Amino acid sequence: MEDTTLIKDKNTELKLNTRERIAILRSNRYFLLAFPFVSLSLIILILGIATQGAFFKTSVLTGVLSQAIIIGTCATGISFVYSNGNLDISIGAVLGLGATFGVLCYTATESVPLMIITSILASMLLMLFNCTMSVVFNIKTITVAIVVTQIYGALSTIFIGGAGKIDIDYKIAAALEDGGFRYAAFFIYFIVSLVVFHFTKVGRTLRMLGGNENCAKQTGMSNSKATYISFLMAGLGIGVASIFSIINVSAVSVETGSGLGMDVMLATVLGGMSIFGGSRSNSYAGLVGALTVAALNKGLLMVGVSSAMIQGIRGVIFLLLVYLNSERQTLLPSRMQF
Amino acid sequence: MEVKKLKKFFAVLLSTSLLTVSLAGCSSSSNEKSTEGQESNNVTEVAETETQEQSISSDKTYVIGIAEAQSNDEVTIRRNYLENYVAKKYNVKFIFSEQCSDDAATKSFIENCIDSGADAIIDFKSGTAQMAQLCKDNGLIYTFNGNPLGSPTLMDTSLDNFAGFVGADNVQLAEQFAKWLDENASEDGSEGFLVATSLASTGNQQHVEITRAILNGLRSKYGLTYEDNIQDLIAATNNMDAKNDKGIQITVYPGSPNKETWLPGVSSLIQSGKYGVFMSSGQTYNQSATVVNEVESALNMNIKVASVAALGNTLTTAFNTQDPSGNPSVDFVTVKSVSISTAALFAITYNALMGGIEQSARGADGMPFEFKFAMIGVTSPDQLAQMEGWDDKDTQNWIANTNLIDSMLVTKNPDITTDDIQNFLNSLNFVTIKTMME
Repeated sequence: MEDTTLIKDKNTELKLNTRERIAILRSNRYFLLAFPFVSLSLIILILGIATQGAFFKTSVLTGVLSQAIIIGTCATGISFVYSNGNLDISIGAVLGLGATFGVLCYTATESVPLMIITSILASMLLMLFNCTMSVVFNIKTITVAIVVTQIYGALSTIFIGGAGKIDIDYKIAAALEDGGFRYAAFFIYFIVSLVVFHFTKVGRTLRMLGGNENCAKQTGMSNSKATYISFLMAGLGIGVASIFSIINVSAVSVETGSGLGMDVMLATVLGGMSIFGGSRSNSYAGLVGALTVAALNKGLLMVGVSSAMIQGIRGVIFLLLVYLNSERQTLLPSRMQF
Repeated sequence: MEVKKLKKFFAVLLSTSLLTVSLAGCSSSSNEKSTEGQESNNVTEVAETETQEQSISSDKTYVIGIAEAQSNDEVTIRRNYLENYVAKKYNVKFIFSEQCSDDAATKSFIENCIDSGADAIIDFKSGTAQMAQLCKDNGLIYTFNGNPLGSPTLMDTSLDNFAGFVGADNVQLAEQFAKWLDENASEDGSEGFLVATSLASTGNQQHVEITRAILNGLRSKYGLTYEDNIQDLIAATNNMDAKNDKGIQITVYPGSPNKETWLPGVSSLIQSGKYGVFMSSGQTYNQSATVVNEVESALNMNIKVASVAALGNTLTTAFNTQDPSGNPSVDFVTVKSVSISTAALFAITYNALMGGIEQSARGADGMPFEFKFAMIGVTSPDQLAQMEGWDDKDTQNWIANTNLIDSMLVTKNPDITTDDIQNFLNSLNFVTIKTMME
């Protein structure tokens, strides 16, 4: 009799309602991994159907990637900084100043390679400065970022001068844009970042530090060293993105990079990664998020939705994605998301 | 458990909202064609009174993208004019951008318009050869709201898709500021002058011209000599006293009024009580109204305010609101008719779509032409009252109605030239518009 009761109880336990099934699905370790990709694919699919296939055209999809490339590159770089629990919102100012130095170098030398090298080196040095201020003087990275954003912005304004903009020959920019330089540079940087982040000791250290700093320190990991590496990788990404920015509009202006810090944060969150880092951080979330934003902007306009409506729909979709992304297993030790 | 229920509730709410908003958006778009010709009650009323007006309905529905630089009263009025009036009268469809914060945003919008099948772009933000080239490569006409001084790269004859510039006549505009200053400033200049230069430091030509006219006006009125070059004062990126041999307090205050730092900065200067005249090269009178009133009350003084403006409710309210000294909260504005400037942009774009670029958008030298329209100086509530109802989006009572637009179109005037269009724009002033609107 007791055996029969036990079997009945077990059967009852196995009868799960929909909500419970969804909860189990969302607790699955692969859910967070797949969700941003599934969301992006779904959005592309819906937009493709709504535009009667026009959205699936190669030129349109390439356009989506093209529009996401600057934010995606920055987000890939800054994921190193986020992963060990640091925040830096000075990305836009760093990109603006890096691009300014690059364009000034081009104006002086008319050498594209020198412009590229200058922009990348300048961005890396600026991020190194941010990191040094934080590590040496023990100031939170976000505090440093708030201060240096003002300084870098002022420097850009001074170097750019009264016109507020320095143009380069748009035919040079167009040649770099059409010649495949952007995609080659982006994919090389992205793959290097992916390898460093997910398959090397550096990446593991950063994630471990982000997940539990005290525990990581007790196992002999150096936070300072890891922080320097993360800022250098971010600087490299921002430098590459600053070149993309110059190519994109064949100019640098006092507006270059404005609002980029927040755009990168949004892309990261939409891509399913916490901006507070931790063991579940990854280097591709920002790119996926940036692609989602670009796809929505382009697709909704193609469907014929007005700009005011696009803002509303985009906001609702963002909220929905963030809500679904925010669900986490409660038993694993990780930082709270969002 | 309660938290879970709450989460579920929000999930359902968000999903429902998304679905509703999506459907509403798509349906509003798809309904446009099916309800073409149908208008709101207000529009219908206006249409009934305009039965004698000419209008054009092209066989093809042209799609024109509008890249906006700002998000203010003027943009709202323009959008309403194009969407609810021009689109229906001329069988065109408009795609409006969100506020383009930089050139990259403008470029993204143009790319998205290309993928959406647009035929032309009217750009209020960037004005670069790269944008024009992007349009050219994809078979689009490109028109820019600005002037060649601010966008010299567009003066390129290889950009044969560039329909030209349309902008305010900055010299005429600056002269109005100088005249008002001459008539309203005291004889000794003891009241002090604060000049908001807006985007003059970043090269905005309208702001440059107004700032220059104000500084020159002060120089000639008081016979003073500045210690610094006027060009340096215009290009100043921080507050700067325009020191002079007469010791008159003149301060230039640069910066975009759209930035959150603008109002705190200008407020602290006004609160110092050192300025009896506040002139702005941008559209700022409504932003500064509160602090001006507070200072007038606290210090028992009258601050005269001069600014740029657009016709609309905000301006009417400002002129009809008295400050503590019994004067209107704004003393002088130069206004542009949003419908006239927009109609000029639409007309030259439409002409270009009809193949009339060479005929109606090139100067005698074959270069892209700069079309200019005059702005109207308003100094009193009475004068503004005479303009009441002009460019009113609620009644669809536009200065630039179909008669006015038709006067600039090659389809209605096959022999029209660039000079004819400019001469027509020159003829539009307060008196002629008033006659037209009566």
